[in-house]
Amino acid sequence: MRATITQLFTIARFSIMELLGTPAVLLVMLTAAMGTLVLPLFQFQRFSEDGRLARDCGLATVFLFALFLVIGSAGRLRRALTDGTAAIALVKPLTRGVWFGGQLLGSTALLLWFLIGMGAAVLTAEAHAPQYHTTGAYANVRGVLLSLLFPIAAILLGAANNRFLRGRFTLTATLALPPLLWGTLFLASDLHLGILTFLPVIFLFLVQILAFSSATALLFSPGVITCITLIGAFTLLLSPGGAAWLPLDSLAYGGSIAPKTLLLLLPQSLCLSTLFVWIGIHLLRRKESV
Amino acid sequence: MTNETILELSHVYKTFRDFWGRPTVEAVKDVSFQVQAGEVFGLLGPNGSGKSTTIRMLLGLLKADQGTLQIFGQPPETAKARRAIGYLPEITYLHPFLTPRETLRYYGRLSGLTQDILESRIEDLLKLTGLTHVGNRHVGTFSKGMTRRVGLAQALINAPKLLILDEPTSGLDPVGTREVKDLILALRERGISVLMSSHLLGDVQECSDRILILDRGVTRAQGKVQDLKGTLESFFLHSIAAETSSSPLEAAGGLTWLG
Repeated sequence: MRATITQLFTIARFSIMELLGTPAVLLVMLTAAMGTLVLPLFQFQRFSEDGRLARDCGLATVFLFALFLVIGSAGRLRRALTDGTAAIALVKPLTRGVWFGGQLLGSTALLLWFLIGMGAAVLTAEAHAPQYHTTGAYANVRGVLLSLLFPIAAILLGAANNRFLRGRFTLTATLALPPLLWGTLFLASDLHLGILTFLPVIFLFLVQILAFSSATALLFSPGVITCITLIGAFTLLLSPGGAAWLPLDSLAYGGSIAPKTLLLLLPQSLCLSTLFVWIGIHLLRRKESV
Repeated sequence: MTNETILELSHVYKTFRDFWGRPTVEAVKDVSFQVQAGEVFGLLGPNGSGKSTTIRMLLGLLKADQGTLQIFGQPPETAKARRAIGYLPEITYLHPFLTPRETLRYYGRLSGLTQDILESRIEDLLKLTGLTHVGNRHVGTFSKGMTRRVGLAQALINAPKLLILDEPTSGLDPVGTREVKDLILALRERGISVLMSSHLLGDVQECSDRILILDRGVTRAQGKVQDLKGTLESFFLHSIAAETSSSPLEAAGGLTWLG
């Protein structure tokens, strides 16, 4: 048992390294973060909602870019099977289920790290959003520009690590981004921390899609681009765990997520995620060739 | 070499099929052989003869249509069977973003090695394969030969009792080729069994105790190297003559514009 857990975490750790080492993941996280942070500058239609428009747009950005990460993770799984990197691992004394589980664990950890960082970005965007009725300004421009320095600092940190310590640029930058995004909160005031309840909701929803996409990725033989497209369309259309949309809808219209909703979502997400993981392991075990 | 059978294939068949289940390639047809403990067994055959397919079935990466396969008395799909195996694939699939040390650490942990044993083995293997000076460089920046050496190192990380090498000298320069052959012979002296596949007659002749010749998925001959010497040479000569006409260029349809 202990050996199996060691193998599971070893595979998860190295899959995180692989994902974090990809420039695409850094690009997705940076784009999502910076896009969310500058939202307050582009709010020409306020509808008397002050920071809520920034929050709603921020949540949409978080979800959309997180989907990219999920679909990219599933595509990477497929690629490992087709390019042969999975074969060398599967010759070692571990089961296919452990290998699949480890890959999913790594992708889930990356997703969580992304959402933690983006939580800070959404809070910051809402805090710097228009307070026209009180300040007469459309946005706290100074605050927005200053908060952009923190994501830029992540890039500089990665560059410095690579230049002086020969470390991995993308790995360092991607790991540093969420903590630095939380640093932007020092520049913000009037934070409504209650909206952070959206994080577990989105996480629970995305974990289901991740498990679903990863299991689906084992079925398709076409190229990576086609696979990613099919997975994306499939997951969006079918929306497994569609009940999670309801709390997000409530939040978008200025509501808040009750703890009771989270308690209902948790078992649903666990059940569906477990089901898709089981299906994925079963498919991999029956797979004719790896 | 002892009489203990550590690997056994019996009447194994494998046919690749398309999406509709129609047969496309009969890769392996009624292949049977055994590998004893402490011997070097060669799988010899031209490209496309079914060597790699046979090896992949032995490792549980591919499912046989018929027949039985056993490694250390276990089916290849079980983790227990793979515990004492080291495998070097024909094309070395490694993570390009890892360094050789990280690669060996990764596969060592998957093999169940503890930290202290792993670290000392990593240094030993880097020294053995001549990669100590590039131990912290990303594998993605390596040449084919260097990647092959990392692949060989990961195959040895768990001190296997059976080493399966698919075209082990592929991509290596003459010095590297010599080193691999010497390593195979040294491993045999230590009682480690080796199953190696190759399309190079010289490699297999030099290193193997017994050989199986495959051609288009079918066993053509099997036995000790010294007993098959005449068969080996005539097989390859006849194979080449059958496949080509007097001139390769003429066989390709008369490339009159070339040369």
